[in-house]
Amino acid sequence: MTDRPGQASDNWAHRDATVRIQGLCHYFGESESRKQVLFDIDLELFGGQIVLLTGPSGSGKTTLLTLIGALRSVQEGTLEVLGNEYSGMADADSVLSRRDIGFIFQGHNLFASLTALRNVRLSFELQGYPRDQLDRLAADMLRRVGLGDRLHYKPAKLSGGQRQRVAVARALGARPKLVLADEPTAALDGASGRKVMALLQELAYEEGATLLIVTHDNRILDAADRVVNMIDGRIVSDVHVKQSLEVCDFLVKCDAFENMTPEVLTELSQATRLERFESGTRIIRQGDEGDKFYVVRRGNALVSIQEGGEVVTEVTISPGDYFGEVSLLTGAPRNASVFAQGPVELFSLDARSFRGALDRSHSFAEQLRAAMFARTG
Amino acid sequence: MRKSGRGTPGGPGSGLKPLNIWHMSFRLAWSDLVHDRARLLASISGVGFAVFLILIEVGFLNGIYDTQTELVYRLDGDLFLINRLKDDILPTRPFERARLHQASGVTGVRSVHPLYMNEFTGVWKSPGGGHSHVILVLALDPADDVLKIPEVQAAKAALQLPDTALFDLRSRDLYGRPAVGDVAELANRRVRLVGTFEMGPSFRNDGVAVMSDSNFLRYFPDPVTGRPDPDAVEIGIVRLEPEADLHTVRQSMDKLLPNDVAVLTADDFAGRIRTFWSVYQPIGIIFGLGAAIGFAIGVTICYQVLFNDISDNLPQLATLKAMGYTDGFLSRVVICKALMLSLLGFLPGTLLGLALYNSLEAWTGIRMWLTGPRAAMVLVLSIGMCVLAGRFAARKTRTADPADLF
Repeated sequence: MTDRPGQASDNWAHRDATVRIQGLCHYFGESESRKQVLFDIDLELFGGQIVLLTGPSGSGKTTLLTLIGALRSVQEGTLEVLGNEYSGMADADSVLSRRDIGFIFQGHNLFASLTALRNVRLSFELQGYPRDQLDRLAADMLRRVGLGDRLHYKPAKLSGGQRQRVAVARALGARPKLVLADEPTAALDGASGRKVMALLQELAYEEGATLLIVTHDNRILDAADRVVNMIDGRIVSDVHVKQSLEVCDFLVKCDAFENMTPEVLTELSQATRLERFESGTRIIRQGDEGDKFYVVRRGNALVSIQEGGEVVTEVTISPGDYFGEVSLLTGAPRNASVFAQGPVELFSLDARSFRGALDRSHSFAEQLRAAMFARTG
Repeated sequence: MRKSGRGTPGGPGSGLKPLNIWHMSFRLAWSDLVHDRARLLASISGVGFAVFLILIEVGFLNGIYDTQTELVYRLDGDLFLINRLKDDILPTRPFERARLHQASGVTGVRSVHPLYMNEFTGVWKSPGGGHSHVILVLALDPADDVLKIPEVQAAKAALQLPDTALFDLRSRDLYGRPAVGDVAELANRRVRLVGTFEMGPSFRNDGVAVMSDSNFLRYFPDPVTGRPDPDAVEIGIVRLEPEADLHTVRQSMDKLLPNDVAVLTADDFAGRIRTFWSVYQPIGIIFGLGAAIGFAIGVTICYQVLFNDISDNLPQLATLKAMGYTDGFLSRVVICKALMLSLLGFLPGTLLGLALYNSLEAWTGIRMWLTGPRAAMVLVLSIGMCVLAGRFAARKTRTADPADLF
């Protein structure tokens, strides 16, 4: 019943995985000078997500991107993209696989000799559309990126932002389910960058595409659903930003968290998982060892304390209320059972993250202790 | 927003037809080629220059062949008898007149006629200036009409008169410009000009005069005896009966005659001369090599143009590869571009070559023909040159690695 965040309702929308990576390792060089650049990468990307891939240079993020783009052959591990298993794939097939992927590079890489329309047409031509429709399709795509009045301009006559938008239009011409972008906004000013990001977001949400963007550009962080950070060839963090924000927004309204610094709150929210329980199921059992702390997100739960086989207290708790902190604070077994009253969604925090938060925030600890005394008292 | 009916990866080319692929590569190549006008002009000039070089060398080579074999094709006969050692129009290598009589006995032969030629002894001097200069004299029995030159045939009667000759108006300027009625000097004797014709000089002689055989033998007696020597025939012109089979007659004549003479058709005779110039003379080799060098220069220039083009477009080409265009497609674009360059360079190169042909003809009197087949050959060479360069250059597109774009 445990959902990893990112696979659940609204922002947590679940779609099929477009990219599935397991145990992916990659090496550069031969024999003695052989150097491992990717270590045992596991990653799943889903449709409708904008995923930022960050990390210092040399962290292997570009290598990972080129592997996902079928621009390098898989050496070790499995890599499945849009239903195609890449490992052991022939070169000719990887060329074909790329036709379903949109690529946006840091440089626009437009043919200087071709108009915006013809540059975008190249993408549609490859898809095998009838020749008489190509111009219309390319023009439509350029209109979508706001360049309807620049169809017949060559790149030299376009601004940097306009060129990048042509490149985006070209990448989207294939109606890709997966777009791989490398610093698509780095060379752009704020307004152009936002325009490009808005376009990409639109694609992700309307077409259910996955956008994987390698970037150092902090300005586009707020557009991301997820931030994967790599260091030295390993994924060191995988943060579901949108969900974290939602958790933050939610937690900050709860009494227990109200005085918490944003920094701790963010950390806390990143460690938070979403759990769902059907009506009537038991969430925790009295007498068990405590391992998690819960906050009710949606629905109601029934807290029930038994003494000598008799139910002595029953309390209904609602969104914003929390439970499960006592045994984490005292180390004693659960002092109550909690049942779902109707379907319930809970944010859960494991014991380690919970204690970490306590150590970082005195106000949180005090709040909880006060509450504990009030309850047990 | 979903598209329908397009191929899946792994499908055959995702529904792209070969015709479309060519259309696409052609369009891309053309746009790229004409995009930068200055560069296009430079490229065309380069390729055009190479075409020009090839054309000039090929022109010289053919100029030699054409002018040296000109006389052969002006002779009105079915078979020709020459000294076995004769391999060009000049120098003279006469043979015994008796061979003509022997040949005339072969079944199927209608008539045999002698043509006499002088060695480098006939100095011509036009009246009223001009150099004294050696001239090639062709001597024949005017009644025989062995030269297929209307003016010569028309001057039959005048040629029968003593001390008369016809002068080739296309002879080089150093003879001056004698007119009909002029009395010039030939081999230290006065000669009256009774007509003119047009044939042209060759690489061996600068001018031509035609005389009757009787006049000729008096002007050019045997240097030892000082007497006319009708025995020293240069070419025997053999005419066959209409029903005679050329091959059979030739075989019987070959069998009959001693091997100091050769029996040849006009094409064999011309072929012998071409072989002499192309194989035994350095000139043929030099011009042949010149044409080869022109070709190599063309390949180099074209390769350079295409290579630079690819280098400048490497990120774009790599992007196309990332999009799913194949190496084959990129190669085709390069080949298309090479084809266009060859055609665009052929035109100015040929025009320039023709201009030079005309100038050379005016200066030397050597006629350089650009016939249809020769133009076609140069065109094929130009295309071959550029496509070869294209194939080399296309390898460079394989270095366009989309993984480098990130």
